[in-house]
Parts: sequence; structure tokens; C-alpha cells
Amino acid sequence: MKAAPHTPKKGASESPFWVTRKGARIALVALHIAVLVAVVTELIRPFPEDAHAVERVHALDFLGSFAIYGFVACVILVLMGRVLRRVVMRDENYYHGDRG
Amino acid sequence: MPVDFPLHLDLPGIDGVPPALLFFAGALLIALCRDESLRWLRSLLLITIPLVGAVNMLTLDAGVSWTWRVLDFELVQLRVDRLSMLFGLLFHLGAFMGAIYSIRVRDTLQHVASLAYAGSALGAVFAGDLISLFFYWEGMALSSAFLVWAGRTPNSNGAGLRYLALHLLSGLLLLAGAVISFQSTGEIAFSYVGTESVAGWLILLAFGIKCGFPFLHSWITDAYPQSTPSGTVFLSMFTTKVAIYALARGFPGTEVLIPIGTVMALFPIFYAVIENDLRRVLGYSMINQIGFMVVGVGIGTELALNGAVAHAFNEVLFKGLLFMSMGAVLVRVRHVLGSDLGGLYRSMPLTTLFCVVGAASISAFPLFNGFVSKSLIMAAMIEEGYTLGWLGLLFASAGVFHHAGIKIPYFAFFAHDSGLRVAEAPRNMLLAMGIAAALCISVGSYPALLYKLLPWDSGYEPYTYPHVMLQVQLLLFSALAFAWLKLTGIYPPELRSVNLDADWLYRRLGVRVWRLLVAALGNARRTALQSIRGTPQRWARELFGRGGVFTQTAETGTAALLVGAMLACYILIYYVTA
Repeated sequence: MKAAPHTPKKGASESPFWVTRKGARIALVALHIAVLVAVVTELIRPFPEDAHAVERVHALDFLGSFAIYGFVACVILVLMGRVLRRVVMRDENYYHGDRG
Repeated sequence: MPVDFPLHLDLPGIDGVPPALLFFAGALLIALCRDESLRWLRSLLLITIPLVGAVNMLTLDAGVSWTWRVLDFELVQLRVDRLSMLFGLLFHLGAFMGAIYSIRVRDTLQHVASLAYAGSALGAVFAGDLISLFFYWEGMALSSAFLVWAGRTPNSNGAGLRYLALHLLSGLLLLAGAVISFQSTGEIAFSYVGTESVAGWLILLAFGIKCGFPFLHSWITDAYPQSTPSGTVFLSMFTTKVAIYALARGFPGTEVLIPIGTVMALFPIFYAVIENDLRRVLGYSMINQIGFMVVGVGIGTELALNGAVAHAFNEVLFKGLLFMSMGAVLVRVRHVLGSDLGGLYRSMPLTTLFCVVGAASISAFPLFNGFVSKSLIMAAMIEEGYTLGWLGLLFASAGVFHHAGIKIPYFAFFAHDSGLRVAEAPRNMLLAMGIAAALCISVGSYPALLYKLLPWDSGYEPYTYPHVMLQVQLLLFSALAFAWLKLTGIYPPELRSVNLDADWLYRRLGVRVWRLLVAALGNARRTALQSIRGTPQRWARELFGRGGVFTQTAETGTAALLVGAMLACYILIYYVTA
């Protein structure tokens, strides 16, 4: 299957999805509500003590610890990705230029 | 004696045959039906062989049978226990979904290669000795290489060659290990191998290539994106899962696997974030998922091994589903570059839905199958006290959601409107994706379906309040991070590019070193030739040049005499020394 280059058709919207689409705005709001609910639920009903042995390690034994871990992990991931890109990114024909 | 497997069938008068044989016979039949008028027969065979094969497999009795005696070796074609049955069932399921997905493909080569490939994978899983394992191992390498070449582009030709070279190397290492092990123990049975001997390390390395250990992994991200839409689906289902099976059989509790698996789970997520080809992103996420399984094998407790094989089972479902959805995009749009896709949810709503199910499953959302198998490995890690590794895997879990759970569906189906207006995926592809998606949700929502099939009874309950809540927090906040990074423009944009990976070592550095060597040898030759100018050159000219001793013509009789004298000398020397 050839990866045919594609140029967007004229008139195609280039503005970000969440600006032009109502659905995307709703999804964003829903996401923010969901993260709030996830933390508030733990606040209202803390985890039982005996769950710690399997589910948690001591260092993460505070409210919303997994939430913070997930958020920070993804930020680090993306920032590291940007650094990695500087190191390893080459032109898309990099390996083809070496023939002959 | 019926095997202790919940799905055992008792069909009177039917003795099962090794599952591989059915698939090989099917591949042969399809190869014979190349005529276009027999297309219906090819399609029929493609669909029925996995079904008939599954019935055949479920009638098998526990224990060792179909032993072939070749030279002094006992080659065991059927070793039936809960571990081989689980993978056998998985591969029949995978072959069935793949068959539906690829049924419209008008390329007999691909059908033959995929059936032979599935057959080799089944043969490897049921093989009871290292020699048979080696043959099926090479069978997999060869048949799957044809699936890569089926892409029929210069890129797929090159990638297929590199793929085949690495996999043949893996087979050779396995054979070398088997031979050394036979010399020292006189045994070729394939059971626990361990790393106490050189043979053990060679076999581990052979399995490691197929598993995609760090630095041995780049065949996955090199070859998988170059195959055809359905070829990649088949490729993703068998090779690495056979490797996990082999690791679970040969190296349970080998501690070195824990750091190896953790590295495998971690480094690909960074590459996946910056990769543009969405099938290559899936390749990276595959290495990441296999990392979890390798860790599970390395821990080696019953809970961990259950987790490793359960996750392998689930990965075939959700990774197959994701590759199928990207394959559908590839069929309609002709490429899967994140930079040029977007907004496809309008044109391909069902494909979008199935892709999101696959994404939720790989991200281990509660009620989806990744959740019920990954947590077995995570729980085993905590139980055995590997806290640091556990934190690493937790990081990797957030990362999976980020690149496979959000990035794949987001850039393909949402993001900005690329202006692409295409048709929905063909119906057979939708059906295959639908089956995979239904299985992802069923196993995720009712884990007993899968847990009953696992080799051991670990009594694990994934749906507890803390576990569900913590996972939901982890994932929702990862999603929040993605949204904020995207809104602020920090998230790296999709760019057409090549990212250097371990394959650079042999695609660029190796080539350069080779060229330097060739040039150095050429120089050395030239220098050597120059240094013998003068007297030696004159001698050579007198001996071999025009009119020299060796270029003169002579009678045939002289030649015969010389040969006779030579023979006489030879016999004399032989007589004296003997």
C-alpha cells in the first residue's frame, strides 16, 4: 500500500478541533468534571487500610496520589518526547538518501 | 484423559491431530486454488480452517502424543496442557478474526502465508521439544516475512529482508542452544530452561529477539508498518505471543527479565509520542505491552505468570483491533500518517467506535480487558516487593493511555478536519473489528471468562473499590494532561519524519562501517601491490607473462606425464606416512 501524499482539500477547516466543534467543547468540560468527581469520590470514601498492601505503596499513600502521578507522568513524557525529537528526528527520506 | 481445560469437547470416535497440520493443509489447498473462479473456495477455506481447527484442538487429550522418531530424537508434536491450550485457543481466535478481516484481499500469497504462519505459531506452542520448536520457529519467520513483502513496495522489500535476517538469527541461536543443551544433558525436551548454562543464555537471546528485547526490538517498528492492512493484523497476533509463551515455559522466575521488561515498557512510549506513522506508534506500544508480560514472566509467581499469559491473550484482542482499525483507514485513505489525517469520525463512524474500544482496552480502563490482565502483573509486582519497577510500570501505564489510548484515535479520527471524505470500512472488516471489540468488552466486564482458562488459579479479584478508583484517577488525569498540553501547544505536533532507533545501528552505522572496511581493504591491497614493484614483479612477469614458463604450450603427453608423476609422489608420501 503506497503512502500517497495527501494535501487537504480547499476549504477544509484548519482551526483546532475544540474551537470549531461544539462536541469537543462539551468533551473538554466533561473531562474536567470527571477529574473533579474522581478526586472528590476518594475524599468522601477513602480507601480501606487493608487495600494498601496490594494497591498502593507507602510513597503514594495520600489523597489523589495516583491522579498526580498520572498527570506528572504525562507531562514528563511529552517534555521528554520533545527533547528526544531533537536528538533522533531526521528527514522522512533519511534512509533512502543512502542508496547507491 | 481429558485435559483440565474448561472448554474440552468429547467427540466420540474423533482423535485430534496437531493443530498445525490442519493449517498447513489449508495453506496448501489455498495455494492450489489460485484460479480466480475458485475464489469462493479460498474464502471458505480461510474461514472454516480456524473453526474446524478450534473444534479439533478442543478434543485433544492432556499429555504428550504424536511423537515422531527421527534419527535419535523424539520429536513431540503435541504436548497438551493448560498453557499450550490457552495459546492454542488464542491463535485459533486470532486466525479466525484475521481471516474475516482479510477475506476480500485478492492476493493468494497473503492467504497462504497467513495460514502457514498461524500453523507454525500453533506448531511452536504445541511442540514438546526444542528441535520441533526450532522448525516451527523458522516456519514462522519465513511465512511472516512473506506477509511483510506482501506490501510490495521498495520499503517493504527492505524491511522484510531485515526482518527475515533477524528472525533467522533467532532460529539459529535457538538451534545452537538446543544442540549445546543436548550435548550436555542428552535431552531435547522443551521445559524449564533457565540461565544456568550457556545453552540457556543462547535460547533466552533467541526468545528475546522474537520478544523485542531492547536493541533487538526494531524489527517490530521497522517491518509492521510496511505490510499490507491485513498482513500487519496477522503479524501482530502471533510472533511476539509465541515468544511470550516460550518465555513463560522456559524462563519463569528469571530475575533478569524484570529490568528488561521494565525498560521495554518504558522507552517505547517516548518514541510513540513523536512518531507520525500511526501503525508504527502501535508497534511501539506493542513493545511496551510485551514489556509488561516479560516482567510478569520474570517475577514467576503463579499470579504473575497468569498475568503475563492473560495479558498476551488480551493483547491479541486489543492490539489486533487497533491494527484492524488503522488497516481500515489505510484501505480507505491509502496512508496512516497522523500529520495528514483527522476528522475521519464523520466518514468512518463505526471504525472510530471500534478504535476507541481498542484504545480503552489497551489503556486498561475498567470494564475493558486490559484492566483485568495488566492488574495481575502489577499486583504480583507489589506482592513480591518490586516497588521501583512497579512505579516504572505505573508510569508506562499512564504513557500507554497517552500514546495509544488518546493519540491514535485522536489524530486519526478527530483533531483538525483534514478534509478527507471516504467511505466506511468494508463490511467484513467491520465484522472482524466488531468481534474483537465485543471480546474486549466481554472479557473486561466479566473477567471470569478469561480467568477460568488461565494455567493457574490465582484467586485475584480486579474489581475492588480502590483498584478501580486509582486506575480511573490515573487515566483521567493523564487525559487532562494531554488536553492541557494540546491546548497550550506544548504537545509536539505530528511531523513527517524518521526517528532514529536501534535499527540505525545496522541500517546506517553498520553500512558505514562496512564501507570503511571495504575501502580500507582496497587501500591495503593497492599498497601491497605497489610495494612489490621491481624484482618480484619482474619474476612474476617472467614466470606468468607472455612467453613465461607457465604460459608456454606443451604436448598433451607432457601434461599426462606430469600428472602421473604427481600421483606417484602422492602415493609415495601416503605410503611413507601411513
